[in-house]
Amino acid sequence: MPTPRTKLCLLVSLCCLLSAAGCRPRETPVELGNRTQVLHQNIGAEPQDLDPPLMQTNAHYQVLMALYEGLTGYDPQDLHPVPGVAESWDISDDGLTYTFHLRANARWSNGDPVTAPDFAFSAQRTLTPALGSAYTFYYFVVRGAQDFATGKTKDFATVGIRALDEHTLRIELHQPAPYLLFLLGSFAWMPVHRATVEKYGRFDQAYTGWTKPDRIVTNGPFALTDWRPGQEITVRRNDRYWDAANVRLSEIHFHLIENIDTEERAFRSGQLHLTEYVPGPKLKSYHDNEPQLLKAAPFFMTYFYGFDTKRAPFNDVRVRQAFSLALDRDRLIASEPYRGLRSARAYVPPGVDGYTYEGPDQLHFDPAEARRLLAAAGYPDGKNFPAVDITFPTNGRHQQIAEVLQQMWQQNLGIHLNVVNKEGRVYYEELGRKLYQLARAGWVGDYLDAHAFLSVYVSDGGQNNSGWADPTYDRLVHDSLNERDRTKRQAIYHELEAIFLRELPIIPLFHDSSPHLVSPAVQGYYPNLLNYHPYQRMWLKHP
Amino acid sequence: MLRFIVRRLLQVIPVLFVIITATFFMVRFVPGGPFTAEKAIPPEILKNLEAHYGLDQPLWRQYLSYLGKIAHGDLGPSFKYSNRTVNEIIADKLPVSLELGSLALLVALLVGLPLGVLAAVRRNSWLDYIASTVGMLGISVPTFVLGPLLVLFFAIHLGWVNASGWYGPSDRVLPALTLGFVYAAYIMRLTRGGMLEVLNQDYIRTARAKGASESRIVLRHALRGGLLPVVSFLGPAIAGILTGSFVIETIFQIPGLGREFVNSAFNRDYTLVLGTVILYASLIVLLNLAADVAQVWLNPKLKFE
Repeated sequence: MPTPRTKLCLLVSLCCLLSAAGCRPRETPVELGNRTQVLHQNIGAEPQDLDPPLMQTNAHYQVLMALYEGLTGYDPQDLHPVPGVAESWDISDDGLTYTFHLRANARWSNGDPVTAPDFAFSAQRTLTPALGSAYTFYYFVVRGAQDFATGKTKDFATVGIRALDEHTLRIELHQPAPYLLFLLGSFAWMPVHRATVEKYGRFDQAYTGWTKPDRIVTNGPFALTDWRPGQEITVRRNDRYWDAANVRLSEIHFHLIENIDTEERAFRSGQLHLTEYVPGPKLKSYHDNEPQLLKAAPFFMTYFYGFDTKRAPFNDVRVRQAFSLALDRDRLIASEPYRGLRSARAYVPPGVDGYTYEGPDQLHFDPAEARRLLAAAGYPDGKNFPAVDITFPTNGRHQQIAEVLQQMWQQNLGIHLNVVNKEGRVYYEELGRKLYQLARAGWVGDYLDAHAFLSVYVSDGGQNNSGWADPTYDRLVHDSLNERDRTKRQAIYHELEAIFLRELPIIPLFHDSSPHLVSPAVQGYYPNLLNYHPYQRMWLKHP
Repeated sequence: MLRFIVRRLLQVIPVLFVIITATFFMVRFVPGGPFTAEKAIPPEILKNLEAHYGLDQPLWRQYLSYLGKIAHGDLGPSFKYSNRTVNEIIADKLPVSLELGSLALLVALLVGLPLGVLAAVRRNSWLDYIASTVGMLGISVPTFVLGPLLVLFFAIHLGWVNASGWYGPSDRVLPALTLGFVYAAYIMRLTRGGMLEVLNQDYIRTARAKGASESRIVLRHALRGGLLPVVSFLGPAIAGILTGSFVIETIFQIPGLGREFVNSAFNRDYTLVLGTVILYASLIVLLNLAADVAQVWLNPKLKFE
């Protein structure tokens, strides 16, 4: 048995050993990456799978963008569609038929050619109900796609997607869709390698494991080399990619750090080039001291509170308007000064594809008018107003915003509302089942067109939890797509938004931003509305 | 002794059965499911997903089918990590938690035991005060404060180690120290208390009277009795430390089982919740048994009964 003295010696030597293990001066992963063109990016939570139609959150799209390429791609600065696997396309005069000419030199990572039948197969797979893709609606502008996806027909020949030959694909729509080229670059339209999918299960079977690193075959600028659960996903430049000569990054390590404070510490210690978020309390410090690292781009998102418009008191439009007029949005966003938020003047975020709502400002702050409307609805100075809960999913930021709103309604309408937070899934479950009165929500557009926002609130919209329905609104949403002239289409969007802001099934509060920490070495990275960053155009500057 | 162990092991079966049954039904009665999300899934697709996982069957049938599966050691597929089974996830992540736990335990024992013994032997000396201060700090400073402080100093300021991740040996240092420090504090305090009690016993006075050296008295006569409270603490503590710590794994981004244990409940990953609960329950039961055996071995007054 060692004496206490020996034990003490042991302890001291252990401490020395532990320190010696790390105290050599070392090159950080970021410094090493800059020399070897290895990008370290954090994407937060782990993806469920790398099967494109089964994607779940936006961050996972980053990995898919490295691994796959659709018919179109995106310009890194403003995200307008650019040629991807399709090098050119023809659009018929009525805007209903698109013919894509695929590159002859497009290759899968195993060397097989990427063909038009690959795209047709992938579309059929995504739309087959048994696969369970939540993104089949990305195809619903295609003739027959919705009927096939909802099981009304099992004959894929009825769907307007056909390979005319190895390198020509035809897509027929039932209604013009000016944003189709944008959708074609998205994950839901990315092709999968048929032989690989079918080797590990039925083509319409989800989660068969074909996406594991030693099995997966992809067609994008990078190929999967490793997936260490809870740690990182590694991709390496795909030398068979048709434009491999212009891809400058040699590897990307997608880190899977979920905690935003841990992520920020990893960035500061030189482990990450790019973060997924920035902790709220750190924004000021970066803004003041290292503004070159902080990129807070406007995001194609609206943060709002939704009403259950079917039940009292919010079935009365005057009450909804009063609640909106009682809010000082500029003061609300002043509580998060370094985030780059924009007060909502409309439902659709401004400036997308040249569209900004310019009708009457109905989201301004007017407490006197708010009180008048409330009194007209039968609640003078908030008297007799029923007990109402403001609900939001448990989260510090949502709580802070809910408390500011609670205080503004109390002050300007004389109504005291209860602030209630609920665990995430409980909250979303209740939202879906309309078991709420006034609840926090948000919407991120799936494609860069005002239609991505306005179409959500059609009467039978799957995400319309408000219970609000307006036949004129439905008709205009439908008509907007038939209008091929952009100016005229945007005039319809104005009309739609005017109805929406008058009826207010929701109260838009502000348009969010997506703040990130970006190492100065990262080149070819442009903050943009959807936080999409094509990796084939990125590289690292070695000082 | 063998009879005692076998009898106790047989008791494990009904205990686990009750735990599995209670967990299976409790997790199902929580609102929200594995497919509940901000962007609602269309009902026809939800139906397909539920059919894929057998959630469309009546609950009692799902329960029976689950019992059948675990009887064969199959914990089922994960809902969140869809291309992996719960067995694979545990096989993947348990070794990480075990490694972290063992290192932390090593730190805890190497720091806690000697400090506790020294503090008791040199009672009310500066050594005792230092040890008590360390013990108090270890208990009162939470890991989510200590961990980031260590990262700030060693990873960001000095740049010696990574702030997060589980790649090389140097990535083990800060998490093991952070987790180990808390346990070291408990062990130190328990050892000190246990030793003080034993050092006042008659048989120690007898040993002193017989002229035994101080080190012989402490290490041979007192330590064995003084460790009893530590041993009973270590049983459940080892189960906790080995199955991972949610906080440590989150602060240092360690791919261990502790995070899955907590996150699976948030994700409504029914099978992963059950898998981790079964593992944790089995470990607690087994390590408590081991602690009981060790108690009898250390304390001649106890018998296997």
